[in-house]
Amino acid sequence: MEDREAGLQDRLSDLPDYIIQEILCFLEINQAIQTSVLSKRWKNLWASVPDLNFNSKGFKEQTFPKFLRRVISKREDCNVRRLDVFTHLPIRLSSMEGLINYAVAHQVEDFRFVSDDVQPVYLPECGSLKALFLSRCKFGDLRTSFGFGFANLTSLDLYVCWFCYSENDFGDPFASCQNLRRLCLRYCRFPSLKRLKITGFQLVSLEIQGFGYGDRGLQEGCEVEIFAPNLLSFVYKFSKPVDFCGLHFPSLDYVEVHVWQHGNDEATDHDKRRASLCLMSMFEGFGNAQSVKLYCETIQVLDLVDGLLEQQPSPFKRLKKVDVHCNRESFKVPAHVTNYLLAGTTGQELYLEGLAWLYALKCFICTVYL
Amino acid sequence: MSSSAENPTLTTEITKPSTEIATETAQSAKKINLKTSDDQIFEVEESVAMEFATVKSFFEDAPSSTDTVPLPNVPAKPFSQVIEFCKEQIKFKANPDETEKKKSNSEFVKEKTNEDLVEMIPVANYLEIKDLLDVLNQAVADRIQNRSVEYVRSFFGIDNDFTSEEEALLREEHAWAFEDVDED
Repeated sequence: MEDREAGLQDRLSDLPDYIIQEILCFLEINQAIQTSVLSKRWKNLWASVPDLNFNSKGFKEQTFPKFLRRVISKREDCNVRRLDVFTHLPIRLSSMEGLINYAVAHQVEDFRFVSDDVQPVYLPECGSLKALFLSRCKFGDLRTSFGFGFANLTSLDLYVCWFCYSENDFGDPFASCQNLRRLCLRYCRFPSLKRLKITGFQLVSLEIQGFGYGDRGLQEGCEVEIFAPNLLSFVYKFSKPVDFCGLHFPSLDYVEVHVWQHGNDEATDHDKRRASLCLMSMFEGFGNAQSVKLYCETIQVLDLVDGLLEQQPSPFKRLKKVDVHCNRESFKVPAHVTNYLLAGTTGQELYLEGLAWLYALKCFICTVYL
Repeated sequence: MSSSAENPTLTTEITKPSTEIATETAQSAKKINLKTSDDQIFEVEESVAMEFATVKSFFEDAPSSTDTVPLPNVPAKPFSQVIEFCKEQIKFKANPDETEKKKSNSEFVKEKTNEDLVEMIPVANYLEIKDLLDVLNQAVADRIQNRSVEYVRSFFGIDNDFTSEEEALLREEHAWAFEDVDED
């Protein structure tokens, strides 16, 4: 353009639309819409951005669903790569349905839904979905066969999600996600189950946080079974020991366990015994692990009942490394616990790498190499 | 520091965590000459140049080439900054550390002017440096977030080719997207 002022050259004019849209992908949708008044070229760019970021900030309970509907209706008929919804408002299920159906019909690959309050969420089957992150969602009235219908999902993150089964006391919610490789469950609740199964044929990494009986999401006595023949890494943190009735981890390489038993003084002998036994039976599922990371609280739970651990054979067969993290300086791993952890690896030379101070965390780590 | 396996015990010793970073392999670094659109020649280490997919495929097509590679769409000023970014990036290839990488990326964009960032985008696109493009797009989006239309126009150097009537009409048409947004 001849009349362009010197120095005010349109630096993006030669770029293809999709590069400019990649910038818009990092904006919330209402800001992306605002760019339509920049120039003729920008007028319709927002309507085909691949990523949609909705944030309820600034909206009221009635107007946010209306806004969602209008955005959908003004968009061009093009695929959604990522749908991101952050809401501090209770959204009616019907408004979410419209948005989610739209995304599913447009081949959404990545869906993140973050809510301030636990609310029911509707999730239809979706073959295009690869990554899902849900925070504070409730799956109510689940039938016997309930499972997420995402055959191509590879990564699933659930934070404070409720699985409310109505007709059955057995649940296997992830079995139909046949391609799931990464699963992270943090503070999820399964209040009506007597038995929870986690089936993941392709699962490589599994992390469970905030698990346990009572206020930690499982009905007292609920048994948990995990079938993950390809699992390499299992992390169980900020949790209490529960009854793992079957852990099928033939490929396991790395395991990390941070559990504790609160109020040791008040806990009855029965409680202590049960916690210890639950943890030991969990450890039996880790036989193939090569690298183990434990915390001093975990060691204490193993050693809650005098004489109990000594009767147990060491669970590990291929162990190469044990890390024990501790936030106390004076903690010593008792000899019989060391023996329990390491006895299965006799015949190998034992090297101690010693204790290292982590300056940032003020944490105590001891590492044992075998 | 070893004991027999029949009698495994944990003894303790205070050591400092190793902060040693694997030093770069001391191979004689091959250099590649790259010529920018304003005829400046940059002598770049091969490992850095291979970060540019466009240059990489040039050498894949002509493996024994010792010629200077022309980069007709790349001006020298943003190119020197792109090289700076890629030099940092290859350090993380040997030692992947996502936290440090993010820190380094945010340091990189922090000290750049708006103009620097916007000028690097076409270069990153032409050279097909996906990581840099993502970093730049995010940085640009952060800087135009919550800014007025006029600010964004001057940020990108966009000519407003709407008549004032057209623009007013369009603003009215899109008012629905903002009608319930609180001013803050």
